[in-house]
Amino acid sequence: MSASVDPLETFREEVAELLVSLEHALMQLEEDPADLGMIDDAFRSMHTIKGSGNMLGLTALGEFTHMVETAFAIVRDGKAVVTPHLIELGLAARDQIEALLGTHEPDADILAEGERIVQELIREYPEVGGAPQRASIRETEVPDTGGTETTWRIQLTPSSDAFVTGNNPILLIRELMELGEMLIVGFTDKVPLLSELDPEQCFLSWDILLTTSKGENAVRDVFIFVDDIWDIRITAIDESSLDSTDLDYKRLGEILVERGDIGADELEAAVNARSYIGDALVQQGFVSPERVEAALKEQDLIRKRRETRQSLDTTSTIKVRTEKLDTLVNLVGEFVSEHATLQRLAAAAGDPEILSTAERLEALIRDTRDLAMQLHMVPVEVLFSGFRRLVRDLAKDLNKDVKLVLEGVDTELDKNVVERLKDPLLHIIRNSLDHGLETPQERQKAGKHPQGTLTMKAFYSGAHVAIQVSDDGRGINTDAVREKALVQGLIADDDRLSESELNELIFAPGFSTTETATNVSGRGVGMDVVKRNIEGLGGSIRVESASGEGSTMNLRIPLTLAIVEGLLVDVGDQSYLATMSSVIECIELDDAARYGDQKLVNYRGQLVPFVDLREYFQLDSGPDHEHAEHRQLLMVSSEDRMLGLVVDGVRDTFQSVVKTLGKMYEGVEGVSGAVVLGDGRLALMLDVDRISRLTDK
Amino acid sequence: MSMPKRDTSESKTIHLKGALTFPNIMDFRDQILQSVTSCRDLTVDLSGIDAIDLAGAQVLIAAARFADAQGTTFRCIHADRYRRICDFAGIRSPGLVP
Repeated sequence: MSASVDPLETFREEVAELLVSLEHALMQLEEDPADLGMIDDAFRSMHTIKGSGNMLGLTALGEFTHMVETAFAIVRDGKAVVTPHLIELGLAARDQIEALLGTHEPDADILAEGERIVQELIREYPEVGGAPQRASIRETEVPDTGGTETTWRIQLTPSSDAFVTGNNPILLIRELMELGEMLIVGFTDKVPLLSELDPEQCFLSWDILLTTSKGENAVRDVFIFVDDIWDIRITAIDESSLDSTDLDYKRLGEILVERGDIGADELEAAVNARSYIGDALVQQGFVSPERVEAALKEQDLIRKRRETRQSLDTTSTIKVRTEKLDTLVNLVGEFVSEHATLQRLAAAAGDPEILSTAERLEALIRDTRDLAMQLHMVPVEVLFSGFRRLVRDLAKDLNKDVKLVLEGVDTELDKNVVERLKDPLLHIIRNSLDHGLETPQERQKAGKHPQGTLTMKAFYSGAHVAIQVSDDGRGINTDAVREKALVQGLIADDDRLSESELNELIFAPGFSTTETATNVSGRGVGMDVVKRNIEGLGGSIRVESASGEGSTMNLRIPLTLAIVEGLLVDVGDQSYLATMSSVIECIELDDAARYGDQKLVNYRGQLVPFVDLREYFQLDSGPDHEHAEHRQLLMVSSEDRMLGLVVDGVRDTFQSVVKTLGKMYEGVEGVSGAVVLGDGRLALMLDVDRISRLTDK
Repeated sequence: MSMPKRDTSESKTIHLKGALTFPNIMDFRDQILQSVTSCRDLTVDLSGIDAIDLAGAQVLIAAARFADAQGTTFRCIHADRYRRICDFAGIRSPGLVP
């Protein structure tokens, strides 16, 4: 199977990653303007974008990036310092690159913005205006060999009149340096004693080891004006495409002979001397110490390159399109479902061999599933880092000083979950900055540090990931919430709500305490949508707040959406699946110590409420539950509490792909999806958190 | 070329000035050669040198080698430019005081 790859599309994907790095570098520089590493990072990102853009013919992008890159080169070279204005321009340039990337022929607005940025850069760094696009011209002219790196040995002996003719070897060495990584050894062994020296003659020579992905012509072009008058020998001595697992390079004697430093007879004589070959050659006057040293350096360099290459080969990564990963995960999910059917048939057939094969297959499928799931996981840093810029820009717009703190960024989540968390988190952050965090003046009046802190934290919690977004702002004004809820008819005058219940009202549809909507938040379309989106992911959201101290949004998100493992239970005619992560234990209902007539059981010394799912789902079909034997009490955990679910029977564990519910189940509270059983019937996924909350009410 | 006679002086410092580059290289060679042959311990102070090219570096290398052959101690001080060009060109820079 082959698929054609659009180079422009690949470039866009690469640039998207580079823009993330660029933005990160700029934000870090804003915090620490002296961080030279970040200046380098910013420069490198722009340099790569420029070079690749030029090669693809995106001239406007190449030219624009070149100007911005020049400004950063000036800073990198220590001729200027990082200023807030440079960061502003850098961020604007980042957005401009993104805009230019979206089009081959940028419209007038995009061009005008580009011009504005360039003019401001020129005002700040006049050199930007006169910067020739030297590097980009080279990159468009010199074709890359597509990642194949060759190490060239360049033996360079200038003609004796090199100084007289003005062919300065230094300039050529400098030009070679631009092609790749270089190791240079200069030889002075032909330089006469001063008393015998004609200082206008050149007696120096060089061995240069250049590793580059540019082709041989690019290397030869450097010497185009001297190649017929200087002695120049260019030999490929190592290539990254060589499928060699041999780390050893040539022996020292071989290298010296190959380079023409000694003859085969001299090598033989040195070998016969039975001492270290390099020493023997020098002692016998066959070669200068400099040349032995150069050969040893060559040997060492190639060995190291081969070692690095081998280590890269064993740890190399490849990019895979996420659609392919999605397909893989879905296929594994289907595999899991089909296996359930096979297992049921095997059990029905009662054939021990088929049963044993089905069991072995199950183990293989489990391993494959785990691997497929791992492939689909990404660190939440991908998600969190994207908010740095948002927080910075919003804080600026709102005249607030806010520090964003990220914690637990290595915590991994399913990529699809991450995608679907973006919008809810965006709303939460906007609300936090707009309503929660105060201006520096307000904070100082309240005795707080003028800079507010917004913390995003992620950590594992069973089969879930907990995400907390907290601010140290003013907290939710529960009096205002209560007043507004009364006006909107969400609560009655005589309702006695706890502080946490009042806080939860912010998730009610259309609820907002702000009188005027800002362009940041406050239209009342935020938090209910956030809640719906989170619950749509099979997760939950709760808010904690303390007046004057701040608020925390606690999100609980399933690690993955693709495949669930659960416990199958029967209630009436219907089967349900409770996720394994929520199940604590299963006990006989008759054995449970009930607490009077109330729906409470004494579970390990703790009074725990229980719900009869027949009643909850108003099921009247199937065996009469009063007469159903061995009804079970499924003890589950929901958020931070326990709950008992009374079911008619417990069947087995089951893994499957979760399907979304059809319209028929719209409005059914307490189920979040469905799985297809081995016999083709549907089992509904229990939304334990929802049942728990509704029961609580 | 005949080798100049050694002076009886024990040690000597010469202060080179200007650009130790190809256009002036003959003068510098003569100046250094005369000094190397006139003492047993020669210090070349390069603090007055405002430019140096490969021809200049080559003269200093040849001088160090000649001094060595003569049994004369040879050292260059305030020699950042000399060090830099030798480092860049990957050549040894004899006579440099570490």
